[in-house]
Amino acid sequence: MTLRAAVLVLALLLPIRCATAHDFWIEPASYRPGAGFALPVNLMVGELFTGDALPRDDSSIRLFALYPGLTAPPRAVIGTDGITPGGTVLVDGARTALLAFSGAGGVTELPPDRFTAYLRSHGLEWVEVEQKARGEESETAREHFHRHAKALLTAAAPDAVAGRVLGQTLEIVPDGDPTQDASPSFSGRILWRGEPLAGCLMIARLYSDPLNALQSRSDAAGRFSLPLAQGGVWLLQAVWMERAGWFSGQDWESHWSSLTFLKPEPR
Amino acid sequence: MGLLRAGRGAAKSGSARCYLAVAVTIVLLLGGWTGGTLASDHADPVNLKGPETNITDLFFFPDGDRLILIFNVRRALTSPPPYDLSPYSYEIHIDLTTPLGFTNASDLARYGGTVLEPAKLHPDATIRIRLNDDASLKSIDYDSLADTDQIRTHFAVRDDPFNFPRFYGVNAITMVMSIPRTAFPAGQQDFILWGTTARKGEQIDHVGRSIRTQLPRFGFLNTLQPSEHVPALMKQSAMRSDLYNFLKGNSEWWSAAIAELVESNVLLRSYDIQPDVMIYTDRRPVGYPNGRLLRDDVVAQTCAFGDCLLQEISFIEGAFPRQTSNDKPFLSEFPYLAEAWPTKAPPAAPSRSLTPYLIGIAVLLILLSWALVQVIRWGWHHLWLWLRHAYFRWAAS
Repeated sequence: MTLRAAVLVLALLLPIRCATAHDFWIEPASYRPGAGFALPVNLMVGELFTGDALPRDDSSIRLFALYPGLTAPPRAVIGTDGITPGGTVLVDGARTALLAFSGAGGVTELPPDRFTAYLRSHGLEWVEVEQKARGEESETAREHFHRHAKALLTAAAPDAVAGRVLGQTLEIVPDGDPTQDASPSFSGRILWRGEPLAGCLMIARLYSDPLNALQSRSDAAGRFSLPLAQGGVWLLQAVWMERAGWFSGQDWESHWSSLTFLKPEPR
Repeated sequence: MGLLRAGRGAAKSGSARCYLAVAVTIVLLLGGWTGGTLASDHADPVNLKGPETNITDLFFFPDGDRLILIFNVRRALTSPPPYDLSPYSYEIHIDLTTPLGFTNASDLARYGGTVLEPAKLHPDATIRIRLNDDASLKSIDYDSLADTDQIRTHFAVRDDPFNFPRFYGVNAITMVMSIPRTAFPAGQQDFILWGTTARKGEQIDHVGRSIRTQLPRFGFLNTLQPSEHVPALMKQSAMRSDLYNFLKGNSEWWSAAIAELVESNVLLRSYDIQPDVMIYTDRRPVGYPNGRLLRDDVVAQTCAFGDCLLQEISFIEGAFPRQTSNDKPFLSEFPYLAEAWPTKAPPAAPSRSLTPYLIGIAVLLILLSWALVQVIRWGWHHLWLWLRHAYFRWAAS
């Protein structure tokens, strides 16, 4: 049994899977597509960097595009509703390109113990504190979650588009172009509504070793760094929450953000 | 996407958009079915312009230390010469350098591999053939091939090797070439091929992998270079997906029903966005879709991976059980293709025409329009007279 198969089995057996299985990321068919390639792009949901491809749901998509350059206009990722892959896009393979998705996730209700476990696993202990202050610690938590994801496509040359700020509600912005950076580290910023977000837990997983996660908290300037020593496909993810509005039927609005990319082997 | 958003956001304009979507669907379906019924690569609609430009088959396979290339045109040939061959140029293009991948199972099954950089597809070598009107060779040019004096050729009318009931007992104009390995760079393992017909430099028909451009949803590829195929497919895919998504997203049952019709006949599928070329590699066993052997039952093989239009037609038009090999045995040696079938008179063309009916309908519509205008005119005129009369009577009283 391969490591990934073992992870999949583990994920299936985890009791809180149903409750928290909304890790979300973009998984292109290739992280290094060639010139003129029509690249299938999957929208993945799962846990521990193991998941299932979601059929496209046009009604939930707010943004699904390829940014081929820092100032170049984005190209829509086209697709057929109800079918996987989530979309297909034409790439030129000349310079690093950025895929981005933002969309509605859904609503979920979690019993207190599962909600608490989920908050702790994603560094959202302050929500737990606020729950207690509101006297909600023993109530079922009602959550409306939103999805934001980015993926970088490696190309022949780097491009500053890797660090392009797109205005996602929760957005991971790398420093430089990590698809061309062979140094054993990664640094970047996490933005909440376009502003630096302090205290957000960043989690990084390597596709070939997803159980050994790396973690880092963002500082007051929203900056974080992670020791990504190995080459391969990496997933960075973060979750942030806010209290749902007074007219909302939910208690919390959560935003899930991810970044996937192929890191070159360290030199 | 824009169509979808508009449909959702503006309920009042929904009906108009829905009618537009239905109209577009009908146009696409009619276009598709026209391509299907007229066609090819046994069936492309180019036979409207001239059946001698209509490519029927491309085969490529090794035989010992040689590579065999067979390029056929003119489907359902039963008549004796002369044909209308001299105006056309028949070309086979071979790309020896664009990288290929052999790890994607879906692409391996459908296309024999993956063209990793479709934008870079280009001919490294080209064979240009001109034929006399009796199907004999007029001229042949080899571009960027070595040892061309060792290339063995055969140009003639022979049995159509395509295993398909409609083409049993008929011939094709065939071009057979046995090319020594030394014609290509030493150690060349991978080949990307496609064939074209052209007149005065204008490309008319294209063939890459068998049973691709003859499918109704791919007809637009026939006049494009392979490097242009993926952008063109993406453009078409975007338009058709928008149409499908819009129709599928409406609450009316008939909209969903049309969406299903679009899905199976018009929509480009996720595995369709590949350039239409033939891939052959020595790394894998020969046989469709890794090159193509004469004995390959490509209709059944293509059906096994998602495209069953011709498989169904072969059941509709053929006997049961479905025949899985050609109606005439192939030769084991050059030129491999079976001898031609005797010439015979082609089936009589239909004598009935729709033109008189169309003219009659047009005249009837004109007359009805004229009569309607006259009735309205008469009505307004008498209404005006009545009102005027009523006014004067009222004024007089």
